[in-house]
Amino acid sequence: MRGPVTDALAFAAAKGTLAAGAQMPGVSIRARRRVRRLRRGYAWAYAAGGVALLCAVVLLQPSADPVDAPVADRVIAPPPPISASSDLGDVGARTIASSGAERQAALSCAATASPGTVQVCDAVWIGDAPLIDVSDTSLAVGPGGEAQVTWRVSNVAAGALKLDVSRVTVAVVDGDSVPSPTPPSEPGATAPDVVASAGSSWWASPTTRYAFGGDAARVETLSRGVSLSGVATLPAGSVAPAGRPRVLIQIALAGESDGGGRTVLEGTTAPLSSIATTAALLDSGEPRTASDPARGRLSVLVCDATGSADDRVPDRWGNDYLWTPTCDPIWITGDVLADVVVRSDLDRSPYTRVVRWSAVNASGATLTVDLGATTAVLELAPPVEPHESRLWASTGDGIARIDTLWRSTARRTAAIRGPGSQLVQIAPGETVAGSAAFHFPASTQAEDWGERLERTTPVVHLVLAAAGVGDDALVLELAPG
Amino acid sequence: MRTWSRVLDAMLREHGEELYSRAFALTGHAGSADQVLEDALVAAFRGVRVPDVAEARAATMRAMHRALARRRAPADRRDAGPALDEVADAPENRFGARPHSALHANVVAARDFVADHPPYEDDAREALVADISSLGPDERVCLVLRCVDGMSITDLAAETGLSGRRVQAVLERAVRRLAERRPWLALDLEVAVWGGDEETAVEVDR
Repeated sequence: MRGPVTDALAFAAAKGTLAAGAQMPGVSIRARRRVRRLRRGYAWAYAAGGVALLCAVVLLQPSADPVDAPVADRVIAPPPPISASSDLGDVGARTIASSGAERQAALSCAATASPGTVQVCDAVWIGDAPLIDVSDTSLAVGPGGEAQVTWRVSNVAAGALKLDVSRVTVAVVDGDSVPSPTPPSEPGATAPDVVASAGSSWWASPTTRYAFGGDAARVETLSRGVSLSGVATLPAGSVAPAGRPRVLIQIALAGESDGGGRTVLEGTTAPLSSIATTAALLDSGEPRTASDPARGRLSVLVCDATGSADDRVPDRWGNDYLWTPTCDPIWITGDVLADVVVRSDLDRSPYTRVVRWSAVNASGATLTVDLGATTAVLELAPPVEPHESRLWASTGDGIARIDTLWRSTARRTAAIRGPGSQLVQIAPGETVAGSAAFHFPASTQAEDWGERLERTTPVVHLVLAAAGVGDDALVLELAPG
Repeated sequence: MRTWSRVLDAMLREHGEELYSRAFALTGHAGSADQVLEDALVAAFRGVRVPDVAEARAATMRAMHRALARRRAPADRRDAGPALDEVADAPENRFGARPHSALHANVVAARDFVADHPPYEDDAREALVADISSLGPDERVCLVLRCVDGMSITDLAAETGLSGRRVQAVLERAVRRLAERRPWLALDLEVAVWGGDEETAVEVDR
């Protein structure tokens, strides 16, 4: 017994060792945050306990003036917001080669630069935990090539942050790992308080980075867990379609540091791979036809994003619609998704088919998908011949039925739900999943519906968000294995 | 001066892979491994006294073993893979910093399916790993400590905080369940639980 079981457990442990490199940083950061919070709690408890004891002693003194005694309010008041003049903990030099995922990346800048001008600042690590987190950030390239960054900065510090929001820098960077002699420009069509920029690197030297000057004209306090968000636009040509861009956010702490300078916090996203993925997908694709079996390949629909209003099918209640452009289907052979599961069940309650699906991002880069647009489609099984007419039964809630998605032997229809969207970033190795239920009307034709339900096969159209390069939209097709 | 933060850094540098590898072997997938290890690290460093690296490693290991040993899968989910909360709370199923309940539910549903239909039937070792993953958490931890660390039942009881009798029962149940699923492995219950001659003399607090 010990042989095969021990062997299997050793095999699982070896898989764990392989996964450790990718997983441990996240585990470490989360554990560190929780421990810090707990230990801070002890400190507060000790302080409050000590003061309570002091109060008790003072109140028990016969000669004590009761007006002077209650000091507890002042003690249990929340700590003041973190600003540049706060004690930010250890400040260490940051170099182009150093990594400090568990500390906050920042810049120490002279306060003399005028707003809008580029200055060179010392790169530093501060504290022993991140203060901000750049998440839920996406990059979309429109039909004309202009880029739109939807950004969000969250306060992940232990307390509130006092921030200079008069100039938030939102930059699309690609290859921010070598010094660049050319300072970044500000090409973006921006809101007054947002600097949008694009470029290869913000490192001026191995120890210094560029930042835009600010004037602290607008200071806001961001409570713990609260986010600051916005949209920044960059003109066509700013973002290279074949790149692996990240979004960099620079935002200054309000106030002056001990040395009289500014402290600018920096946060970046993982590479927003949609554009790179799109290019890779299009490069490696082979045309797919209706009679071509999958043989382990992933089907992708390349759709013309400029489709007409005729392609819209209202849902049963008329609230939402399905956008159903006719697309070029291609087969992808590279690793994009792994462990794809699509399961379709007849629910215990009659006349409902439930589609559940999941997939793991195996692309090696973050995928941004639009779960709001993603739709499960029930096609008739066995497949019927391709034809031009489209008889959709769109029921809302991300599911629709059609006899076949094939318009011809080489063209296929996509089902993209609108108008809402829910952009989700899927890190490498993360799972994305969804489910949808198709409710057939209970009527005198019930048996007929039940029979039809038995004869459908599901396919999930997972929409790659911000994948548009030029006029194309991309839809990954997830089908049962 | 020894600070918890520095000790944590040093421990993860020296033993991070080992700890994660153990968490993975105990749980069978990355999401639960993350959660179990994260909780264990918090347990190891939450005390007022700062441990040294060796103490912290041992405390983290023990916290993982004890947390799982105390956790039992509900009876009706014994054959359906990891417990729902184990999956739904796993960091890999979180999107952004905020839990997303609808997505969690979807992931859980999808995972149920994966658990019901292991994709590794053509690979005996992967299939056995999947079977072990679908055991209850207490069964998995006892199996790992018995088969990988070679612990006696007495040591295993001390490590997990369970009684010797309970450890024996859990191990027997685990082996029986594996034997039912993989009869061709010819698992020997007696040898698996007692480990042959050297352990038959071990007293169990019956």
